[in-house]
Amino acid sequence: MVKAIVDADLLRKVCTERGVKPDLIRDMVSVERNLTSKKERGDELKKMLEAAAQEEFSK
Amino acid sequence: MLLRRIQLENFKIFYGKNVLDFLEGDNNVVLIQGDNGHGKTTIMESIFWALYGKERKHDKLTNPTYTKMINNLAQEKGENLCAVTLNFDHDGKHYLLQRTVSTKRKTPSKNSDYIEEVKLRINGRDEPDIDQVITEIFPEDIATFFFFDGETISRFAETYTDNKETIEKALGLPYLKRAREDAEKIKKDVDKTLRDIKISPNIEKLEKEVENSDKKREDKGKMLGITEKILANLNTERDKLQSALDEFEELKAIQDRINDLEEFSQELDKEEETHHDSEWKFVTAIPSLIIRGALKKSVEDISVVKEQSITDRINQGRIMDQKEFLEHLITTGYCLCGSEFTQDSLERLKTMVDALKEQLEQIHPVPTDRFAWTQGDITDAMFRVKTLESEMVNLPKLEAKRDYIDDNRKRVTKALTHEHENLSAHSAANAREKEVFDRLNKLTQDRAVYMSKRDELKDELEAIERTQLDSENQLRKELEMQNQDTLKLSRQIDLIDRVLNTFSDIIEKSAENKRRKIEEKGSKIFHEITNKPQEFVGLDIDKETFEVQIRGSNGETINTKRLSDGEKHVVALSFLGGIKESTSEGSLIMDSPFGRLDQTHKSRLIDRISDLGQQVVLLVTDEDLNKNEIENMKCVQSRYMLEHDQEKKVSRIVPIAGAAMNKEATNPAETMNDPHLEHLMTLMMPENDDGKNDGGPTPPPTIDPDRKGGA
Repeated sequence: MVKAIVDADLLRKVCTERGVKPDLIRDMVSVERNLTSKKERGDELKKMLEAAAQEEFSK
Repeated sequence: MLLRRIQLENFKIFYGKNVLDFLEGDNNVVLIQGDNGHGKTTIMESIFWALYGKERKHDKLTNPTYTKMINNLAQEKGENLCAVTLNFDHDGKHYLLQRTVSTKRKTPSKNSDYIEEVKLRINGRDEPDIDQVITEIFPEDIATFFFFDGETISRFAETYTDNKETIEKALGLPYLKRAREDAEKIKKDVDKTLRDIKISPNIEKLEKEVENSDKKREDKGKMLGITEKILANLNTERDKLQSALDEFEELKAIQDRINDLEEFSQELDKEEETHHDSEWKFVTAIPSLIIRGALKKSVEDISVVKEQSITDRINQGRIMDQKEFLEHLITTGYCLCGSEFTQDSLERLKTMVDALKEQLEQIHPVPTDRFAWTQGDITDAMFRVKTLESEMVNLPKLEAKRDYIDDNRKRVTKALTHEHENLSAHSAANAREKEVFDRLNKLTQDRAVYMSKRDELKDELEAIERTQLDSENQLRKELEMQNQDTLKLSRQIDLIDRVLNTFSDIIEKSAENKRRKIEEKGSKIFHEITNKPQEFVGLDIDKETFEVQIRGSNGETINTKRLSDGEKHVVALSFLGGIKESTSEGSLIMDSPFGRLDQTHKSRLIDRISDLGQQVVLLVTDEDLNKNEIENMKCVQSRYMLEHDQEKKVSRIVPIAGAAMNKEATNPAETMNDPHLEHLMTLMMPENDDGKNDGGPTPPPTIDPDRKGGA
């Protein structure tokens, strides 16, 4: 029912320019939408960013 | 999200099972009619509660009060359960969401006396993570734009200042902003961790050492450079002076001769030293030569005396032996043959002893050791004399050498004196030559000093470099140990920076894109509804404040404060419609949306109502829409009446016969296989001919559209 918070084309374009995977941004937004606890959000986002940084390095 | 069915069971004013079906087809408007207090708002509330487990009050969602949730009549009949079931389609999947509340005790009085349960099935399969799924497809924050009532419209019509926050909320920008803030916080934490690693005491100490070494190296390097430069200058000057000196040939010749003479003088010194030893040997032996005749006589005399002394000592011993033998015989009184001596014999023996004593007294031998000592010295002296005599043949040579040395010494001394006199005379005569010469000497001394200084500096520099190399090696090891962590954290910071920039870009561009879309969609709706389409061409939403104004036909902006209440209402409705169209697709449920509209605006809205959403549900009173307006409304697929029993104070939803229905409409709604609901359905469902309930969602009986009031 609800359209994506971020337009897919816009997300793709900006992510390409900034060198970030769109899925990471989507997942981060999803965490923000689903978790109300600041600490839980922080922990979850930190894990995501660590994993994404590691994945980038592994390539 | 497209609604397929809403089923209310003992929910608030609705007793028993009440069903609203939404059919597929071209006609997309569902009309629900009911007087005030008959349950229109309750239908809206049921949707909010089913989705979020919350009640909606004045555009805000709050925790529900269970004591008012189960229908009073149902409670009186011992039915202590209420439920709302939503069937809807979304993104090609079918969803069945059911929320129930039941009592835990017979006389419940507070929320804790109730149990709330929620279940979700997607395509017939149970979904455990219900909240997440619902939030994904239909977040709470923007529910206002899908289900709104006249109150919401009026609020928007009066307070456009809230638009920015509202629009940002509708766009999900708070999530993006919060994600950016959280990422910034994480970056700070990671940055701090990285700094803590970098300033570990050991590394800090080593870095300081390397830094100090660098500084020392630099300082020493500078000093060495200066020294090298001075030396280079000195060398250059020396070469020049040397060249200049070479030009003074005569001076150079004198100097060369002096050098040669001094060198020869040094050689003479060495020769003289050697010759002096030989001469000294002769000098010390001269006394021995002088007394060599006397020494020879002494040696001969000593030999005679020595022989006499030996003879004396031999005789002395022989006489003493004879004397002792005779004294022994006298003492014993017996001869060697055993015969006793006579008196005569004894007297003769005594006479003999006396004679021997006289002989001994006449003998005085010289001590031999004394002769030995004297003889040794003399022999020694004699040996030296003999040696000297053998070397006497060399004496002329020694004398000749002495003459040679003395002669040359004299000549060298004389020549040197002469040459120095020459040099002095020459130098005095030529000041420039002297100056050059002095300068060269001074320069040579300076050069030696600087060369020494340079060597010292080189040594110091090497020592510093060795120390620095050690420190750097240690630092490298330390850093390598921490390298993994540092690298990892640096990569994270790099990524977070990019993520932050991405969020900033998205927030900025997304807000602008959405603003344009809302403006575009809202303008379209506004232009279709307004009764002044020639004068007002659309909405104008400010880029910064999101304030809504009207765009005039000449491109001018018109402040909404100048508009009538009805016109403001149209602006608000258009704005909400624009937001809805820009942010979602599917159902739009409006409760009494015609509040302040004049007849012209209302007619235009009714004409365009089906265009506002893929599925439009209108909750209206008879005052909102009259019979003609309802009859003439386009695209109506079904109509429902909210019947109210004044006596029992309950309502029920009844389909109105004769409403324009899509003949080919289908209803894919399913039911939740829940014991409570099954029980309720058994109670509510009309029986078949065979007296059994089939369990399916049988529509309630239809009523006459003009009929009002009791069930």
